[in-house]
Amino acid sequence: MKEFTIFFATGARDFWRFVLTHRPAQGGLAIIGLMMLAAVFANVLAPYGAMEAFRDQLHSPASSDHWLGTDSQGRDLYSRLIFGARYTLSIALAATLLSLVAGSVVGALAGYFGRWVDLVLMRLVDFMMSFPSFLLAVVTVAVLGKSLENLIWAVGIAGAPSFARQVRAEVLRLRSLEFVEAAHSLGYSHGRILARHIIPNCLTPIIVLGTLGMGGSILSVAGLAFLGLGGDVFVPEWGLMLKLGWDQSSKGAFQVGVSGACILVTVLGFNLFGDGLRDWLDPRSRSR
Amino acid sequence: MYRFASMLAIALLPVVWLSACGGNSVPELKKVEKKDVIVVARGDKSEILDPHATNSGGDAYLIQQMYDTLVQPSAKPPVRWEPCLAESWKDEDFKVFTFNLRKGVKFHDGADFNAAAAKRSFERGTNLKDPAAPPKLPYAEEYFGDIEKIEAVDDFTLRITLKASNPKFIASCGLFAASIVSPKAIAAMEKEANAGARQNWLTRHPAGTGPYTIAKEGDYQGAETVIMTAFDGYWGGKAATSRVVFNHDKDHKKRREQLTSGAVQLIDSPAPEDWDLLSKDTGVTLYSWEAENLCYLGLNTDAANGFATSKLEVRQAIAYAIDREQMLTLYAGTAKAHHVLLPPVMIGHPAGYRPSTDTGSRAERLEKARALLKGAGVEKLELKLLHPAVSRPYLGKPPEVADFIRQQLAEIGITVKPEPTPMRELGDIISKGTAPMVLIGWMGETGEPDNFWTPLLSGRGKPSDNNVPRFWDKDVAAKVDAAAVERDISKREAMYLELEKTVHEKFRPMVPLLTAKQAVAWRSEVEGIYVDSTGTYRLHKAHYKE
Amino acid sequence: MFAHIARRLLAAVPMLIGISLVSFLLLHALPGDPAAALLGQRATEENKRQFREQAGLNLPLHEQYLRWVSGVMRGDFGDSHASNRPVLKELAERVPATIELAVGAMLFATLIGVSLGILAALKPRSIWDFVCLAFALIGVSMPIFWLGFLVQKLFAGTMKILPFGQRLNYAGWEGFEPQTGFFVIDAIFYYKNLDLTLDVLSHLFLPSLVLATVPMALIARITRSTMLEALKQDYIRTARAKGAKPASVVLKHALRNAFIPIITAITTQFGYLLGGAVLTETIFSWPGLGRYVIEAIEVLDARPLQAGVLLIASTFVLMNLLTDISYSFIDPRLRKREAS
Repeated sequence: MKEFTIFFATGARDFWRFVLTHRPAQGGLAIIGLMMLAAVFANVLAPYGAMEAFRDQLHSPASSDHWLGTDSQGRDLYSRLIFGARYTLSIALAATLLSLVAGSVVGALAGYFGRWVDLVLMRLVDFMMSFPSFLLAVVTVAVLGKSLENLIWAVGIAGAPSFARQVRAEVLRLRSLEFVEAAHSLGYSHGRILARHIIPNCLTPIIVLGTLGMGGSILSVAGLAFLGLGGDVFVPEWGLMLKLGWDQSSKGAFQVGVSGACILVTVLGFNLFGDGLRDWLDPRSRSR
Repeated sequence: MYRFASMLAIALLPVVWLSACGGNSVPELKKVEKKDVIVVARGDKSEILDPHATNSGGDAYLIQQMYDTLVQPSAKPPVRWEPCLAESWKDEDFKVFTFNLRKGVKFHDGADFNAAAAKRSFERGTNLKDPAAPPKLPYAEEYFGDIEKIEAVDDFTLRITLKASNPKFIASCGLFAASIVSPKAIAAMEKEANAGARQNWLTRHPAGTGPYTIAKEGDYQGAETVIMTAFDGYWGGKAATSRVVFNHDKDHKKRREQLTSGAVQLIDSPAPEDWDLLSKDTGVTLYSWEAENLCYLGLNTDAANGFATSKLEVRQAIAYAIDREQMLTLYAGTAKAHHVLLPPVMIGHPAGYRPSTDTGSRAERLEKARALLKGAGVEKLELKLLHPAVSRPYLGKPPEVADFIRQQLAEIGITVKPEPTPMRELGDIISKGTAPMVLIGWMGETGEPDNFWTPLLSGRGKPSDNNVPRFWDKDVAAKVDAAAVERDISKREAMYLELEKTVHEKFRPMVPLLTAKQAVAWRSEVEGIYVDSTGTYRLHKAHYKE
Repeated sequence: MFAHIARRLLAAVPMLIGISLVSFLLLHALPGDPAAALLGQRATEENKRQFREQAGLNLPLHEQYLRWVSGVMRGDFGDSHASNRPVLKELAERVPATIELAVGAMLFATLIGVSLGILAALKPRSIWDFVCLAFALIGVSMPIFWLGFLVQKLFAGTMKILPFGQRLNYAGWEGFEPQTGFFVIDAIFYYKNLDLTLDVLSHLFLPSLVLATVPMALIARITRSTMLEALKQDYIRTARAKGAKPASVVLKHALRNAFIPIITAITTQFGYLLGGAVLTETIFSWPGLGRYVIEAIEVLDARPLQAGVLLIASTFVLMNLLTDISYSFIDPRLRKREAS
């Protein structure tokens, strides 16, 4: 009965044992680890600064000085890609956390209190889901104005409903279980039951969804940036870098190629790892 | 599953049936030989093909293939006005203009061109109260607002009398907005009660005297594609190629690839970094020219808005800090550094003059800039820099140039926050003066220096809507007005030199940055394409080499 | 069953009202003055003042909303200030383009996705299974604007075997006039011209293939897992034991039972396509609804934006509604449940 073990202790060990047998999850973890390293140690790993421009070397091809060449303003592409990991991952993380927290709160309240709270909140969620999420994000940025911060809000808000649904389903299931009923009969407050009993037991599915959501967030952020909704185009976020290369005509094809490849690989990493997590949670699928 | 399939079939049936019975006679569909058609890929789109009703450059290029004006620009720069529908003209004191019109000219709709037709077209195009007028006449006020009366003296003599002397009037008559529209079409438009319908009427039924026309409604496929057919009765001789197709593609990369792969024959505004590539391509002819344009940094001078730029010292410091030579790298050799208001191709350009802020070494200038800021007691300055969100002919990559200014001003301790802004909002902000710095530019259409001076640094009694710095000096305004009506070219040039000096040394409301060359490129197997002195490509002589 | 349908229909009504409210409010939510968003940058203060009166911008919000909705009901979406044309007219050009693209993409996604899924399920752990899984994973991780860039560069730029952008080689045809706005239908049923059909299809090919990437991956994955499930069931084993041909087992028995999840995936993905079309249409210069919305945002053109959002979101809701309703036709169990 895995769901009832405390997530952080036994769950983690159990999961680690699982990862050792699951090839895709290993691959995903490796990619994520690598990107995280790049993001955290960008200052050390990148030979130049992300905004450092070599005005006499515009659009220069790959060389020993500039491993991947330079961009339209003479900035080192390789360094920008490494700093890009930092920006891309933190923006996507912020957006995912936003959807995760907002979605979980709404889902937990709806599932736990039921009745009219459930009705009102879930109607709202249904309503948000009646917009294709990418369009919702596009329109949100249009209203808030073009900037990276607003992009985080837009992607975060657009992603929240799916968290809300998942968490609500989980809470509904937990609410009817014996140990929660026992807590009720002991007279514990709603807050305590939610915080001590319900939320910890929802964590696992939330984390799986969050991992898969990271991939989606990276794609949405990059897509919006590509459409020119990202504000300052010189921030070394991969989607913006792709857009910059796109605008450079004949000279930018390589930049488009490598920034897109970075996006693809990173999203692939999160999806591989997320799939692994899901397999672990759902033994039915593991046995296949 | 079978049930589902049959449901699908039932659902689709009406669509199939409807389309099969759509019309009794299917119009003839013919494959067009490649040699009979020239395809143009353009960055702009066209939406209103009514010469009087639009001010969009995208519309103008197409309108100029279909309509003629009384006078036309010379093929080679600088802009001179040559006979077109008027064979000759004379004026009395720039006030009464008499045109002798060309005989034997026909409109696309079969009507004859004569003085009455020209008169009717001018009436419709300059007066919003005219029963055939569209809802907006964007050029009427500025270029034709001073017309007092229009008379058809005889069949082929037209006389236009102005309220006051205006030396620019002939240039106005050469604008696409002064195109002559068929009286038959105007009579038909009068019957339309709705102004919007009157505006779209000509898009569906072009009625000019030009070499090309849109033969039927289906040839206008919205903004994306316009198909033009040669007009048999064109007075200059039927166009050499019978069809021209204008496609819209915003993506300059794709336009270039379409040209190099041979899918299209002409493209406009190729990206500067591609010029080199295109000129090396043996299959492609790249034509570039120095255009009447200017890219500049407008600095808000109006103290009422409370921006630091209202202090002269701050504006001068900014001027000192900007190094144009480095900025040019972003244009890949397609732009020239510029220090004054009027571009080099225009009358009144002060060739030898350079403002004092723009001379000396970079280090000296930075020193002076810092000293000026210190003297003005300005430290830690943060300024917003607004710029167009999309590229303009004078500003190929707005964010990159803005970023460049940010880097340069950082050296004198000014923190710049670039903000890409849609043109709509930008126009609004400029006319209200609610931004400290705007990176923007201006394009001339007629070779007339006053079209730079009045809108950009003066106005009619108050700063004009396009006056970015909101700069107003009574003395300067009076001199601008005096220079506009001066007939003697050398006197006029002296007046403009004097104005440039006053403005840049004493007021510094703007920092001129550069003038950008323009280009179009076409397949070398096509002969006869030319670009006139105002930058309009002309296609009626274009044909494939044998 | 009809009660079920009626209930679903009723539930969709508040959704649609909500969507119309949001679309309406966009006018006021956009940065800047609503009058400017409707008139364009050249409008003078006087123009705007007059316009506010005439267009009722001074009225209370609920009255403005009612005015707008009643206009929309009559097909009057207002005018675009960028083009000065009625939005309805532009929608008539744009909507068929997007539907054609989405249907093309759905065909690709379904055909390739379902067959790959079946192949994988029939031979677990084979090379097909691996291809299917790898494809499913890469497909959902793909930045489609990047993929679009690459395939366009390859097929249209370097190899020159497919055209760039647009829906038809307008230059190559004299006398073409769109009839239904669906160019494929026009070419086949109206002009009955093979060359024209091929021309239209060659323009449709790359954009719909790129748009199909993500749904294709998801459909392949779902088909694989549901088919695996279905093939394990007792009745399949029985059918096999009885000597039914393998092909008939797969198609008649297993696929039939795996039908509902697959159909769900297909229809819900259709909604996704409408969102994804924004990116695909931008890369391929496809004159569809998604690009219409983006162009409207670029120039802050309120009416087209309102109309675009309203249409995309309500189509999305209606698609989901249709899916729901079609279950009750396809799955007899659902019908019985309603009856009892």
